[in-house]
Amino acid sequence: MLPSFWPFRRAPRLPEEVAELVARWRRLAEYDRGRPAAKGRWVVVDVESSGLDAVNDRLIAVGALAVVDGAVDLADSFEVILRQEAPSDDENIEVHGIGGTEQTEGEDPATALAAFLDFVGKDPLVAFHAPFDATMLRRAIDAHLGVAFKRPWLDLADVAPLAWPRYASRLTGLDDWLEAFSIPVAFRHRAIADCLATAQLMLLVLPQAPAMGAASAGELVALSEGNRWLSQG
Amino acid sequence: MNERQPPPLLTAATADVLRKHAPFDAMREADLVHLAAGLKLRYFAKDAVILSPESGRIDSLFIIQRGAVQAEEPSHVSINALAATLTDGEVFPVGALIAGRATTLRYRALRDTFCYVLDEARFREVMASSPEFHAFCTRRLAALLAASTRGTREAYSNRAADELTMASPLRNAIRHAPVTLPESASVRQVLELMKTKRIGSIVLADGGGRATGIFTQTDVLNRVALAGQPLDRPVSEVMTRNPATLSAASALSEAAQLMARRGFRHVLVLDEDRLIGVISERDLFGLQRLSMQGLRKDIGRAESVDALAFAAREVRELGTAMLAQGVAAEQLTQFVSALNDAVTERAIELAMRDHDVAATGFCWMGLGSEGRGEQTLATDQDNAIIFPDREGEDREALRQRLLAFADQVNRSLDACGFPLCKGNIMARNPDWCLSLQEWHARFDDWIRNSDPEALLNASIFFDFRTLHGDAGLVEQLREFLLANVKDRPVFLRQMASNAAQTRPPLGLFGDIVGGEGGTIDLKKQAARVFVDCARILSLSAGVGAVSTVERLRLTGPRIRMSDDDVAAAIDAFHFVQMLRLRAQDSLDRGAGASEPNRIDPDTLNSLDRRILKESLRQARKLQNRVGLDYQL
Repeated sequence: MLPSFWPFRRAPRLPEEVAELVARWRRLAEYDRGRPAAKGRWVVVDVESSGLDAVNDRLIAVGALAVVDGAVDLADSFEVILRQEAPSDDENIEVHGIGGTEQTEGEDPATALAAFLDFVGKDPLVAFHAPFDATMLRRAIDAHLGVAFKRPWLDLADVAPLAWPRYASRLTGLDDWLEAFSIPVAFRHRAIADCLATAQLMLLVLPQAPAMGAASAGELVALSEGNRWLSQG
Repeated sequence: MNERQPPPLLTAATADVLRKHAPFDAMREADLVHLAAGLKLRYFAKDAVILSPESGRIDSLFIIQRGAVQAEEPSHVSINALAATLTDGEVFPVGALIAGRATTLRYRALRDTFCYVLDEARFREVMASSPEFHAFCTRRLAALLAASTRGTREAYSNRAADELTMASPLRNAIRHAPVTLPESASVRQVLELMKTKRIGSIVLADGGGRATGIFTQTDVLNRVALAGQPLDRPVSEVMTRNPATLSAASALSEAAQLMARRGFRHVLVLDEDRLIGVISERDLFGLQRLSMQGLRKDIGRAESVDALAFAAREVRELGTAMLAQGVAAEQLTQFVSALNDAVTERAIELAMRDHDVAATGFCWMGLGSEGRGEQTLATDQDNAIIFPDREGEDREALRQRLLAFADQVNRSLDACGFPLCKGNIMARNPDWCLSLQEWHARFDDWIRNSDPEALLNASIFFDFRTLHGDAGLVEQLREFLLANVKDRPVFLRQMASNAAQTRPPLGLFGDIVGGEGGTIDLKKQAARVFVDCARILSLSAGVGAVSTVERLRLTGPRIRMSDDDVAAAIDAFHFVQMLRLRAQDSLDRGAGASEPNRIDPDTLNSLDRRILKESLRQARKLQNRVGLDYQL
């Protein structure tokens, strides 16, 4: 695979419907950063992959679920398994539960990812430990669609500790937070089930946004990104 | 977005959460998944108000995923306020959603709470497809009825009238500042002001600002519309002059007495000499108890048929007012029956002054709806006489004396607003003025023959009750009836087959199916189904009760009807009776029609239509039960 900065890299040839979806997505207006954080649409995203190396492992499944005007809308949701040349190893399958046949009979990756773009639109994205999901998606979308998927991400791993500072030292992983707020999760590590759990954490965070100094959606995203730079710096 | 199906895992996970609770645990998988796929999930922080009457029309169902929600009356009602705590798996507000109205309660999160939210369209789809979910939502008939009653009452008073007692000063019962116009205003101006201000009365004042008259909604009908008065005439020509006044410190009971005594519905309230408001009869919730006692006394003291007729008219007026106040059908019919009984009794006492019949030992029986104590406001007479068989007495001579007496009673009752029976089922008819033995023979004949006429008679005469005289005779007749009916299953089967002829007007999909002009006959197609079925079930079980409600209550446990089913059937019957009362009431006010029991279901508000539908379903259920018992 050629690096994405390679100037003469050819864009992948896309089937017509896929190209159309991509073109439509490109034309979409950016979300309104000034809107109140609790209003409008956020898309909670979770991915499953062949391993924990965001740079080298393959994207296997994508789940997404919208939080609209402070409510999780179960019908406004998305899940797809991407077709794999060969299934991931057994140990990995035990983590996400997507079996070998499911993997090799999945959706054509370009079609699946175009549908994902169509689903998320230009709304801000939400995840717990977002850099992993963001990187996996950026790589796959670039490779299969030739699209630079640079999107605003709200990382709940960053923001939840800001919302409840006194929990911050005790709670680290998603499981900790879910347990602390008694959020049920049906099948941990199935993308869409994780989305549902993460979305409920998002419902709890949204009313806290103004108190955190992030009245608008854009400010909440900035808070997340700013905090990440600080903690990484 | 709505057409999109969520990933199966998402709906399955949600269905699993729901399945821990009724009614979702009993629902078919497909219905539950369809429900789950339409859900949204919302979060409410502790103390957040989720819904309140101010939220307006309810368009979704809330299912608590986890947390706790307090359902409470909005604060101004206070004191004995209803409050209930709802927790995981509980749903609200079912009644308001079904009716498409605002909720009467406020729902507040007691702690951090997550609720699933189901939109109305999907809610109705699941109601239609899942019998379990439907039953769960509609088993709340009793709750719905309470809501309906409350709704009617609220329509007449914004104030929590229960807070007022009869001892409260009038000042506290005033709902708004008085609306006045100069008495030189035209009728048209008055009507327009009534309409824009949505008020029932206008006070008219002279040049000096002194209240000289009042003009009310009732006057619009009687003195303007029906009298054919042009609207440009001065209101002073049609207003009520010198309206009654009371001081603001007077008790509500004084206003109630004044209204009951002088027969008007409005009293002006003065503070010193200043008019501060108008109290109407409808403002005096709780009035009925007081007036009922007063009326009872008036009836008992009536010295002439004219005086009795006047009191009987007041009974009807008060019944109408109570209806408007949203008094439940059960109390209302009891009230009407009790006072009608008193009127009949007084009519008999007055006639006995002219006829020496006391020594005959006769007993005056009420039959049909009067016998069951289920009279509506427009009921004609159904009555009969039973007298003892005494050795050596000339039965025919005795009968002639009783017939002359009965004729006078029947005519008095007619003057009191109970029209003579078209079918001549009255005590003055020699066929229905019989000795105990003769009644035995008559009943025996009907039970043996069970021809159409016998069945028709049975449906009237088997609902008999003592109104005056020796109740022992009536009880002997009842014992005879119960003992004989038991030995004649063919007769009961005939009755059952008769009762199955009229099906409640429900369509395949549970919707109300109107006949001509989309109307249904509440008496024939609804009330009578309950009455007939209750009669058959109680007679076959040897239960001697007469009223439909008592029959169901006493018979139900003997025939393994569940308490819930009995209660639902009773509620449904009461509701149908209430609708009949309301329909008749609107006829009295000039709507005019030859069939007082016909209504167009589309003219009901959505809550009442919903309850009617459920009531008809109960009627059908009861009818099916009887059909099953007799293998029809």
